[in-house]
Amino acid sequence: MSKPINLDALFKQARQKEPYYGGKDFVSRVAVDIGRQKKLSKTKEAIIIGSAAVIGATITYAYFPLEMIMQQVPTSFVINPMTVLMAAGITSISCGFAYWLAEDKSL
Amino acid sequence: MISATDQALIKRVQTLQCQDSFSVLVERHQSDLRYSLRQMTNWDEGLADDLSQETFLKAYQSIKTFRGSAKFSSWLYRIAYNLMISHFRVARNREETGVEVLTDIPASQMRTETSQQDLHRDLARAMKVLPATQRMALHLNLHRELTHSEISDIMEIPLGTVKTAINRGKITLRQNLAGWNSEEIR
Repeated sequence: MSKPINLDALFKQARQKEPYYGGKDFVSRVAVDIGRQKKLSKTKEAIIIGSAAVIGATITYAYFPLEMIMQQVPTSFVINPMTVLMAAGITSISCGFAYWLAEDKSL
Repeated sequence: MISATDQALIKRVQTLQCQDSFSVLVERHQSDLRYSLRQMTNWDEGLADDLSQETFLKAYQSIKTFRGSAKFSSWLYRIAYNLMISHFRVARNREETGVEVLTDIPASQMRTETSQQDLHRDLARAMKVLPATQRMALHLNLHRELTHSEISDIMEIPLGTVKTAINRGKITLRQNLAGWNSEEIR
């Protein structure tokens, strides 16, 4: 009668002799799979955004009070010295702010 | 990044979706998983690698659900086990020659081949006659040296079922390997 096999010893032997599988190819295959998956979800995202844009545009076209707004747009402008001064002031402040933003390294 | 812990890498993947960190995790765990799946699939290298690849892809997709209460490797095994079970279910439904529907290998055939074949392949062949639950539980317990409780978490089955599966698996495996001289194994 044959001796019963010692499973613990057998598995220990298998554990000690377990081969190591080089992972470079495998890792790149997984990375490609993940990339493909991401691309798919980006396409899905684009479709959702596109559909939302179409729906939004349709609703806007139907309900947006364009004519009312157009009627309120002044057809003539009166430029007096105060207007010129105000425009110059706003331009100076904007330019100063833009310069400060560009120079500030902490931003 | 190579020396970072699993936990740190997982955090980076969860918060920054950092694919490089995930690649390090894949590199670190792929060999163990691929070997385990070879053992589970009668050393079908193609199937084992496909399942491993799918496991990592699923892991990446659902990494936000990983809470860190278990080891990352245990979580991977859980995903792999579920994928393997559904693969075999589909294969059986299609009446393909799945591992689950294979019958016992004649003992004589096994004995003559043990001296010629690699230990790991032989073990996989001997394991294939076991039901998937027993096979997985036995492998995780005897090869990966996981506790019954860890196996219960991975396989999502009660602790008692794990113990029964391991005991029954051992009995069947001993019967299948009766007369198998372990010294013959290379």
